[in-house]
Amino acid sequence: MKKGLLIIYTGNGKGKTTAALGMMLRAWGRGMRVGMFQFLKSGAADYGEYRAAKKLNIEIVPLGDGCSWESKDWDASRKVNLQAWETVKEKITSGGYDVLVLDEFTFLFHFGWLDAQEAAVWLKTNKPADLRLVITGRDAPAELLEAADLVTDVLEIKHPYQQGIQAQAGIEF
Amino acid sequence: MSKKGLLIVNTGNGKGKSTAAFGTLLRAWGRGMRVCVIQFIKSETGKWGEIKAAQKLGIEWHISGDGFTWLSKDMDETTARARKGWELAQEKIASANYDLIVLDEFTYPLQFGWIDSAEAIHWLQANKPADLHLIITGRNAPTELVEYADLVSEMGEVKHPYQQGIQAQAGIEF
Repeated sequence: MKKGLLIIYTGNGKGKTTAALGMMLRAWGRGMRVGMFQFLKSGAADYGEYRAAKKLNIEIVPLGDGCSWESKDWDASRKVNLQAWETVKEKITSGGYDVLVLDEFTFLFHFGWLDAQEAAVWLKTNKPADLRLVITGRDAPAELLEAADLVTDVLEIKHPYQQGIQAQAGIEF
Repeated sequence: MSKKGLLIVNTGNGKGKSTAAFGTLLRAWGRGMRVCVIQFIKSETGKWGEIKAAQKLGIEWHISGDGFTWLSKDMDETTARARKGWELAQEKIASANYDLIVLDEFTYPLQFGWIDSAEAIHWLQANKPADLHLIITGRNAPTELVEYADLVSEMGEVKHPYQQGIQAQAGIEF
């Protein structure tokens, strides 16, 4: 029995987006059609994954307006991210992908921009049966966990920030 | 804030330990860093998606295992392979030719006592180049390793498709 899984990486530890990237690499290795669409992130930051995506000729597309906890204009951030959700819905139903990653998608629920029940119902109704969909972000809502096939909670056991070590290019971004 | 080569451990019973390491590998490779993977436990006969990807990308990849341990018939062979893998890892680590090295499933030889974990950590403390990032994956990371590490994430299994009778998926789980 095979099906396109709905996979969630949540929790406060490092490794949610990274695990999704690893999954994309694996699928790409098998010639599958992969794409990552990022909420919150604006693409202004110089992430190693953007460089890798260019080299691999795969889509990693930032659809946000920067980290929203620093946003001055919440209404604008809300609009940008909800517009991103509309874009992603089209990608999901397009049939053009085998693996799709919705990076940092959980924040839309966290900020109350999107109703979790509504999103879960939409996914159940519209996700193509053979599409593998990966969602990352902290505090995944219960409705989404309920809809998921595979959920990993990434716990932070130890973090270098605690020891005064800064984030490292190529490793953390 | 200072910079240093991190020792990263991805442990726990959930999915995503090796996968996150491969994501970091992709990121580092994207930046033109010199990367290498040594896999313990996993057999070279497995047709893993990550190995296909590594071949396409020209990423150096070594496999030292003979399959999953709980399927092993010859424990001496399994132990010997793990030790040989560790020797190779030591050579690569000490060479200073890499920016990132992944020791995938390395916790198992430590856990099963095929490689002494106190000795291995002592060796790393003495020989790991200061700017080398090292990622170790696998369940049940020994306490000494967690203490020595800079960044430790535990992948907790909340829900797994095996529980629902869905088989492992090519390109996703392997």
